[in-house]
Amino acid sequence: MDPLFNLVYPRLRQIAGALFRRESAASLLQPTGVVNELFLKLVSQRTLQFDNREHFFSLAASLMRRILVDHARAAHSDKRDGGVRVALDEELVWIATTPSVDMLDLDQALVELEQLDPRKVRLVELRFFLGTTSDEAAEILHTSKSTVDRELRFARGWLYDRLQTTEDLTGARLDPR
Amino acid sequence: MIRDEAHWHELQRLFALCTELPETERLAALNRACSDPKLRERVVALLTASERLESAAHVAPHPASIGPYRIIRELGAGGLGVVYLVERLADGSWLRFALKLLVPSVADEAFMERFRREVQTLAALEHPNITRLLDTGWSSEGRPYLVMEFVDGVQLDAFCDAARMSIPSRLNLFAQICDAVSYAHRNMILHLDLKPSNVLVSATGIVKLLDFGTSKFMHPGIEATIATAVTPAYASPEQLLGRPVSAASDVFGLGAILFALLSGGRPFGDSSLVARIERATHELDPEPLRGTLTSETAEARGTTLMRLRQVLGGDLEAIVSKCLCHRPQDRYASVDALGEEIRRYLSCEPVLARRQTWRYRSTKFLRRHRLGLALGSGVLAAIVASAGFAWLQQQRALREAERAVRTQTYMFRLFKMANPENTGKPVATVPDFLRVGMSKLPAYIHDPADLRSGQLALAESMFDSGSLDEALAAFATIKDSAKRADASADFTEAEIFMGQILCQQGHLPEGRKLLSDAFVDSQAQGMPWRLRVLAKVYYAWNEDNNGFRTDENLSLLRAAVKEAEQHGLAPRDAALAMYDLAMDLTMRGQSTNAKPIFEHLLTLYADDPLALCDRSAVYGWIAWIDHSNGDSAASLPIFKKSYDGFIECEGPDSPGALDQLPYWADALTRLSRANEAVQLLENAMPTWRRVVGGSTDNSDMLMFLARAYVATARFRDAETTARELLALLTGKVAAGDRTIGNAHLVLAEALAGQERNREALPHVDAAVSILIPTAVSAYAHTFSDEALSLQARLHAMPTATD
Repeated sequence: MDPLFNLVYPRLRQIAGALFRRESAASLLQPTGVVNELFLKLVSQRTLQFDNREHFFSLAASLMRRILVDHARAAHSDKRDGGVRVALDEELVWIATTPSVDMLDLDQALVELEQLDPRKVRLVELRFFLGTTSDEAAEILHTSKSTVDRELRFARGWLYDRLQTTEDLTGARLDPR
Repeated sequence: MIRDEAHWHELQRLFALCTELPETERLAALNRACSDPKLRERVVALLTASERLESAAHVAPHPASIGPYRIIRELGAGGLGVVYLVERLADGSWLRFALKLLVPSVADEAFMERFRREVQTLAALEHPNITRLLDTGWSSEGRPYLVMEFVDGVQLDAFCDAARMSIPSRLNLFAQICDAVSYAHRNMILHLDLKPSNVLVSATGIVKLLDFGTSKFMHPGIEATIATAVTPAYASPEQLLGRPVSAASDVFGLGAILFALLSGGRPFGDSSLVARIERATHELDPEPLRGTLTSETAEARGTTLMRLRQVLGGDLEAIVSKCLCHRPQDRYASVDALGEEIRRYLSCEPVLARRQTWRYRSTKFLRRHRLGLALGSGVLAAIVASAGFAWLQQQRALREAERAVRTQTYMFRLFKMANPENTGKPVATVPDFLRVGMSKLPAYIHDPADLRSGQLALAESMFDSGSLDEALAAFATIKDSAKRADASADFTEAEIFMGQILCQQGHLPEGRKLLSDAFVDSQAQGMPWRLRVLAKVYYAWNEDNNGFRTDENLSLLRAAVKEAEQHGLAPRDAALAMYDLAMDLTMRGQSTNAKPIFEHLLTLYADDPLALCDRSAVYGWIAWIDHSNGDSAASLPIFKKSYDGFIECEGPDSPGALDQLPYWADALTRLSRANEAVQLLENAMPTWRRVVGGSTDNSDMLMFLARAYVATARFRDAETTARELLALLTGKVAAGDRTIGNAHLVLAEALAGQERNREALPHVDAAVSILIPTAVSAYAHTFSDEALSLQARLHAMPTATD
């Protein structure tokens, strides 16, 4: 585990707690809003020294995912109403054709992808949870934009295929529209 | 089902192979490339998933109707919600509207109350260039919606490009947008999401602003949040950083629109929100306005690439940068000010934004030396006498003998404290001395009014010696005490200096407010003439030099000079008024009118032994006026007087003295005495490096040294120096700044001198593109002419010798 992760995570949880309480009136999370506010708090933590921005961005992205999952899990056990849906805005629509996906299903699919190809998960985290552009993700992962686009296309195809399977298994409505 | 991990790389290879090919050829290619039917099946499954994603991604479900409105189609979606084209039956005919369905993050009581209130304000907006709000309501899912006039138009930038609209026509349209935003501001409504896609141009050529004020709906309560509403490419830093928004945030948005209209690009490229936040946190500048110009961009503006580059340099670049400043207070103070600026540009009047980049003799420097206080150490008598002089000005303090005695005792104590022989623990610098003086003062002076006047004297000395923060704190204390005691003169005096300090530190709105209050207060009956003059001078000077230039300011400065003479003010106060008037005239390009005033100042200063620094600064101005008007020979002895004077009053590290050297050297070079110029600058170079410590202060030292090298045919030394200059300036001053242009010019000359013409060409081209559009004075034109003739010479010469 990244030592920085341990250092930053508890602090972020605290911030996130307050944000989610405010959001709780709506059952639909707005990840870009919440997540970017978290990111802002993170970059303004001047006491934290990061070795480099690549490291910082990757860390931030995985923290965002962790926090959303934690929140979804907590809400899940509270309400037993089928979990927290994550709204997908313009930048994030590629992840699923349904207007929202279940955060916990998505996380489970990512855990499986991690075992196959951790780098793709980093990429998905950067694009999905931090909302970076392909260009920025390429810079952060020290690769080219075309590689990022190619890998992303494969990863999202794989994830979508995986999520469809989940929905089928749980008997949930599949809505490819 | 097969396990992906066994074929992970193969799977990706085949997937990539297929996505490269048209759909019809995929299966055949896949069959050829892979013999394992199960693996093929898996690739096809992933491809199918991917295809379904690509094709279906942007289709979102939408209802058939919302309230009484029937949905025709979706017009757009964003963080705020979705906009639909809708229709409604009214009086037997179907009318079309735009309906915006909002997605509030919290739809609680407070939100609804806020929504109702905002809607009332918005409904009151009636302007030909703003889409009208016609109706509001709540959808069956309880989401609020707004119904607006539907504009069947084209997005602003697309409209301009399609019409191949020239830069002036684009600016005319932009001025209309400014008017509309300004109208809303007067009605206390901010837009906060200004971007090209929120400006439509109707078929009849009328500009319409969309989405006024709706971004405010997304801010629940007063808690600062990053609204999901902001568009990363155009949002202001304060919005990204969750700081308070103001009219200046819309000035930023307008700057971003102007950026797109002029250059076809976006000020921050295609950055994501997090990347913009990162940039905003580090206060990084936007992309250069002329960074992404292409020949297509130029064609869409009915001009050539080279010409467009020239047009967008200088004033327009300055205007855009001023809008896009990181700190709100550095932008135009209002949308009106921006609109005025655009009109000034269109009518070929000089614009205000450029004047900020006026490099010669920064006002900061002159302010610092106004009273000629010796900085550093050594001249203890002068220090104390200077504080004593300020003290004597406060005549009330000396009305009675007893007070005089106390004052004398106090001064005597200060002398002792300042003198290391008496204390063993020396007070080494003026700021130290003043700080001690301020802290000891209450022990000697008990009467509150006298205490205040003593504090005022010390605080003004702090100001004069450059301890601005301490002076500001001291004046604030005095202002409070004066307010409690209803002592209007002390109150006004503190206001004047606080305003001046805040302006000097770049806090323009606060500073200008204080100076304007002080100016009004100083008109009160019984106000001492000294304060009336000071208030006028500081008010007019700061207005005139911070982007609010009017002839009224110049009249105020003239009036101040007259009053100072009529009412027999101390020579130093009268000099202040004259000094600012002369400086203002010089900056307005009226140096011939300024010169006699500067000369008269010399006679005023002649009797004041402590005005050595001031006198030296005046000599510097006169020398510069002579030199820049072509009389370099006359300027030489005056430059020397200024230089020697500064060394005497400030010591060997004097920034004032260093400030004289580049132009003095330039005068020598132009008189064919370049060897002397080289010597003069080479000798001072170590001092300059130590004093400025890597900043761009007085970077003209390097520029004129390189030019002197060129004039003495030492081209290699010239090249080294010019490259150092370019490296120093790059990234620290605006790309279109004249200092960069001059650096390119001298580097090109150094390279051409070594017959490296091919290398010289891009530098001379860069110099021409910056210097030609920005040359305002005759002196500046000498540099542009030089660049043009070198460019012509280089283009005419064969480059084979490289």
